[in-house]
Parts: sequence; structure tokens; C-alpha cells
Amino acid sequence: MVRTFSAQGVNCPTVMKTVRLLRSFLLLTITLAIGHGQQLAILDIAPVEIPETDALNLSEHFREVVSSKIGENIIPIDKVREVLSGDKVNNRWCAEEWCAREVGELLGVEKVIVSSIWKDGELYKLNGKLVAMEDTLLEKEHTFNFAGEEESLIPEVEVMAYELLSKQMPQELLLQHQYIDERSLALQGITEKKTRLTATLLSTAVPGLGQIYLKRKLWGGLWMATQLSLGAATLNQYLSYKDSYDEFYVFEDLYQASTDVDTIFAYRNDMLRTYDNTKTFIDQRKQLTQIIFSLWALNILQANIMSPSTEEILKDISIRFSHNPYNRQSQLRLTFTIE
Amino acid sequence: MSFDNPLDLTTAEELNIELPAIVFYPDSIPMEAGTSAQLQVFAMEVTGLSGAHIQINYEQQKLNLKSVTKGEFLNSLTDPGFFFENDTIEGLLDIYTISFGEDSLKNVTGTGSLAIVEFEATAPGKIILEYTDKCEFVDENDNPIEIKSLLYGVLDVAKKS
Repeated sequence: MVRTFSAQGVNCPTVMKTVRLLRSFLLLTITLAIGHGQQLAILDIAPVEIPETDALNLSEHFREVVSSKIGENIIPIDKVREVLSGDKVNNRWCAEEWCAREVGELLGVEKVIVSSIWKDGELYKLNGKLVAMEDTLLEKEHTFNFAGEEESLIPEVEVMAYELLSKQMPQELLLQHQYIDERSLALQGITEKKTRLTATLLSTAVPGLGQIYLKRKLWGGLWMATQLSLGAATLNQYLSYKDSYDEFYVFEDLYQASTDVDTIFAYRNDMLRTYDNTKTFIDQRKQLTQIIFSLWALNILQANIMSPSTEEILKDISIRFSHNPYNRQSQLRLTFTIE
Repeated sequence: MSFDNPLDLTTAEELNIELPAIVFYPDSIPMEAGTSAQLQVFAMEVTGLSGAHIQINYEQQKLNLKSVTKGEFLNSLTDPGFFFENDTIEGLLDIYTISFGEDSLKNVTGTGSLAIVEFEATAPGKIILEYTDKCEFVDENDNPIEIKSLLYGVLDVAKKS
């Protein structure tokens, strides 16, 4: 039975019908608004070998970056968790494409971001996927592995947000990422090995080049100058040897062709002289060559020894990144901590 | 390095070759069968030489004598007296040369060419040319001058290509 209210001649059943219609329309509008404005769902970052609370905090930060800094409309996390904790989904955590699609369908969104952080020994492995429900292929994937402090996960999660959504990240964040990346390579000993190998190979190819690569320009210049001088001296010896060698054969021909005993005697002496000269130049050239090769080996050894250790490399990275124009602080510092 | 000029006095001393000597120059010639080669007959470090008789023994089956001409050693105001005889059966070449002065024979000292002989090789092989013991040197008074060494020559004949 419909209760009616008489108010100055207004037909109450009509009013109620109108109110009901308006309410339905409002609900529909709200539903459509939710459905239309919130095309992106971001699931919590799945933790592997890190505390769940840390993963949840990082997830919160990630969503904050996507909504506030990048400006994407995202579905509230409560709704997402509600779906994940329901009977239709088996896992609390989701980091794979298949479950992203499952959840995306349940939520009725266009895109879903799933991710994970895995602490594998000394390495952190960060992986994120952007799944577009309409495409069968993965729209974007971001993977970044690094060695370092857990605090570095905060800027890296931010980087992942920008990468997955194909947005240009701020310069400061980019520098932080570069710093973390370089530190990671150094901490794993990769930079030390690579630097040492490069310096050694360069010095093997060109004496002094390895030292220059290591920014020891004085040593590099010294090696180059020394080897060039010795090389020039060796070349000079070779040219002298060649002249003596040719001269010897000229005198030999003259000696053979001569029938005057005095001339024969003179040419004989000339042959002896040029032969001795040739031998001397050969010996000197051998000595110089030995010196060159000894110094070459020494230069290679020095380049190898001179290469910086991991500690020195880390110090250098700290110094370099503490003087960048994009960082307002005098020293690079990660401002957030994971509670 | 080898000092093998047959006229090299230092080499002769090292090889204990006594002088005066008669040598061929060059003392070894590579050649092809059917071609000719010239050798000079040299008197080496002789004193007061006025005349010489040179007898060369050669393999007549493998060599043909093409020519014999006089050397310059015994030249003076006039050409030296010069003639030769070739025995093709025995393979012997006799050369006679004498130096004429104004009123008497002239004599020369030192090392020089007495004759130039040209042979044609008719067969391949190493062909030796030897001076025989009948070689003689004489001074202006026809006194013999001892020849202490007679060095042979070699024609190294290869097959005709």
C-alpha cells in the first residue's frame, strides 16, 4: 500500500514514482561514474621474502604516486581487497597476468597493475605488469633488480609507476634511480671487475690508455710518451739496419767485380764495416724491442693494479651524486622509511 | 759473408795459397748448355814477368773453345806478342805471350790478365778447367820464375731450359 501525502493539491503517487525514478537514475549515474572514471585497479605488491607490512606500505606509496603525482583515477583499494578476499579468487596476493585479468573482470576495470618484490639473497627483484583487459598481450612490464638497502625500494616503486604508465619521471627521481643502479652494480662487484678488465684491455691495446680511462692522465701520458719514443728509436734502428744491409750488398757486388788487388782490398774492408754495422743495428733493435715489451707488460700490470676497488667505486658514486644540480640537498638522501 | 774473389790477396793468405799463382777470373761461372762464357787468365803477384806459357787442360767432349785474346798485363809501348794452340783431341790449350820493350823485353810486376778465353758448353755438368805443370813464367833474361800455385776454374753448366 502506498502512503500518500496531501500537500496543496499535489498527486502523491506521482511524486513517489518520480522520486523512485530519480533515485534509480542517481544510482545508475553513480555506478556509471565509478565505472567510467576508475579504469585502473592497482593490486597490492606481492611480497616474497619481505615482510607483508613492508609490501603493504610500499603498495600504498605506489598508489599515492599513481593517483597524486601521475594523476590517474584508480579504484579504491578496499574494493580491490574485497574482491580478492572473496570466494571467487583463490590468492590474497596477485602478481601474474592471469590473476590480474581475473580480478580485472570481477572489478569491471579497463586496466590492472600487478607487481611483486622478491628479496633473493642480497638482491631485490622488482616486477610490475600493466594488463589491459581488452588486449590479449601484456601492455607493459617493468623489471628492476638491484643490490642495496631496503629504503631504495621506495623510489624504485615510484619509478615503476612512471614506467608502467609510460610517463616521464621527474629529474630528481631519475637521478635517484641512476644512483641506486650504479650502487647496485658496484655492490655486486660488477663495476670493479668491468673497470679492471676494461683498463687492462685498453692498456694491452695501447700503452697508457687504460690509465687514461682510469683518469690517471699523468701516468697514461707518461706510458704513451715512453712507448712512442722507444718505438721511434726502434724504427730508426731498423732504417739504419736496412741502409747498412743494402750497402753491404752493393760493396759485395763491387768486390766480386773488381780485378784490381788494391780495390778488392778496399771493398773487402767496406764489406766488413757494413756487415758489423748491420749486426750492431740488429742487436740494438732487439734490445729496444725487449725494453718496449717489458714496459708494455708493466703498463698492463699497473693498469690492472690501479683499478679502483669496490669501496673506492662506492665512494666515487657517493661523491658524484651528492653534487648534482637537481638535488636540493647536499647529499642524496632517501626521505622515506619503511616502518 | 764470404770473400771469394780469386784475386783477393787476404783470402789467398788465409787459405795458405802461395804466390805467385795463376788463377782464373772468375773462378766459377754458372751457365747453360749451348751458351758461352769468358774467363780471364790472371797472373797473381808475380815479380819481373816478361813472358808466359800457359797450358789449360779442359774436357773437350763438353767444351768448345770459341776465342782466345790477349790480356792487358803485358801491354807496353807495343802490343805483347801473343799466340795460342788448341788441341781439340787432348783438350789442351797452349797460350804464349811476351812483352816487348824498346830494345829488350819489358817486365811487369803485380797482378794482371794474361789472356781472355771463351768456351762454349755443349753438355751439362760441372766442368773443371785446370792449369797443367807445363805453365811457365820467365823474366826478361828468360830466367824461369817459379809458379807456386795453379788454381782451377769451374764452369757449372745447367741443362738448356
